[in-house]
Amino acid sequence: MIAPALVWMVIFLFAALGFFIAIRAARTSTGTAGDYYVGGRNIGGMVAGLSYAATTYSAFMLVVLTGLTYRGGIGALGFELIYFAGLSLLVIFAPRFWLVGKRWGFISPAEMIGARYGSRGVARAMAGASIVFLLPYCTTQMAGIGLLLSGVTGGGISLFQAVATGAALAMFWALLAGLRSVAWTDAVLSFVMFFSGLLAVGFAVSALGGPAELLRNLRADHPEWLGVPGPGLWSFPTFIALSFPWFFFALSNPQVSQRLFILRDFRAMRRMILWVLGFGFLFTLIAVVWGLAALQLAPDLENTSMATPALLSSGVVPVWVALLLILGILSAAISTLDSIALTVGAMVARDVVRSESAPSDARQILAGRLAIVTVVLFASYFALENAAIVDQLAALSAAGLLVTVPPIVGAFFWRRGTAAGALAAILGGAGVAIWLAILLGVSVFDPLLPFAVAGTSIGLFVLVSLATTPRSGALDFQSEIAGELARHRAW
Amino acid sequence: MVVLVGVAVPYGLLAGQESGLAVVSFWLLFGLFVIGLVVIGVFRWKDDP
Repeated sequence: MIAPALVWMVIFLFAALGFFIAIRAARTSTGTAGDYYVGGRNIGGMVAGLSYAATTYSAFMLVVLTGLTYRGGIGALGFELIYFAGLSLLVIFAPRFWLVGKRWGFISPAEMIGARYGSRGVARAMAGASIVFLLPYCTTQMAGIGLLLSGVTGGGISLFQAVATGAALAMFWALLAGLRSVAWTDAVLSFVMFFSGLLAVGFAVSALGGPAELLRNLRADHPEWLGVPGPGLWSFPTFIALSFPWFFFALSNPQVSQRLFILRDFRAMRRMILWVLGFGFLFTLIAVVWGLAALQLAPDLENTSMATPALLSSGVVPVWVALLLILGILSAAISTLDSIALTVGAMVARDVVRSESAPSDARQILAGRLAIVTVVLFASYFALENAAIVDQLAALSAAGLLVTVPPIVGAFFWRRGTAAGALAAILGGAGVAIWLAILLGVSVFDPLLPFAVAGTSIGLFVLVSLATTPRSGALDFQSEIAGELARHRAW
Repeated sequence: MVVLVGVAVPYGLLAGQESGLAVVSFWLLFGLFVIGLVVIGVFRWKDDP
């Protein structure tokens, strides 16, 4: 157990550093909606890449993924690497998002899809689906903060205090200068996440006698954990049920796909992708090795989501490293949370409340800020109510957000796709997701859920599109950017 | 194709193997292969404004 006063002290220092960075970022802001939500489309590759990584790799990694490793073994590595392989979608889609975003001034992915199909209804439906399915994901970040801080202090920091701290930090960093303050703080937080994780894993593995001894112990005491299906969790259906929706994360989750609008140029785009790849691969290994180390150093836990707090408070890891890792996990949660809040803010400002006559930049920013506050408070409330269902909520959001993928793919590769088809795909798929998961209680570990959602969404998109005609105001992305894609030699 | 292989090999060829490192090694190579493919993809881009 770690003294609450020590934890509060490092959180205070961490917050002070974050505020300093956010305020510095705010000084470069021009006050326009474009600057607030996408950094004036002038963010370099390294900051964009680290921000993308910090947004993608959330508290899920060092709280839930380590728990899944603890419970089910190496299947967690495969699951996360299938998700990682989904980053390859960026090779195809990043240039397209960036080119159309630059040409038409899109700020949110929902706005882009709405313009492509010539329908504000499509933009609003996509924004609505994103908000509905992202809120549970925000909740998991808050719950992660709560589990961690109350866990490592043995309840010395209450769940309410932990969630309130996370909410205050995420809100401030997103509200201050929008994307600029979020991206800059994300970039620093990603370093905290990575090096604190690396240090903690180093100490944990060292306490076990080194990597060779870790493996030897695993082979002797937990041989099933090194294979699949392992001790039970990673059956083939479960693996598919979890991996399939996560593979499309780079497209389906607007808080990361919106990052494709912020880049300065193609060079920055390439550098961003390389930073994400390097960070993602190594951070995945850190999370999985951490889970395997916890299995040996803090055995017999009933709630595997407590693997990280249990290992941190076991005395195996020095207190200063434990404090650093607490900051790392806090960083992971907050960087994801403030990015989601900012993206939801952009969607509310541009897609939900904006009428045909565009409001001023100040009104768009105000609408976004109100949405950010609402999202964070909403996530905080449900984290306080439902901290025990972290695993289920995190995975449900991935399955639900699949409904946005067919309209996005169709926007760039199928001219015949129509607004009615896109609307049917989003609303029909979302309806099936809610019906199965909430009303019928189908588990996220059941492949029926993601495949039924994806199948419904794809089927409706194709059939309804073929039965209707494209709107006259729809944009033809394929023709409009074909020359630019060829000039940049993008596939 | 690569993703399908990333699922099929551990759950097909290597399934049920205990105490070995075949699955771990395969997935590590799979991750590195994905990185290689993406690097090939992005390095063919031309940066001209």
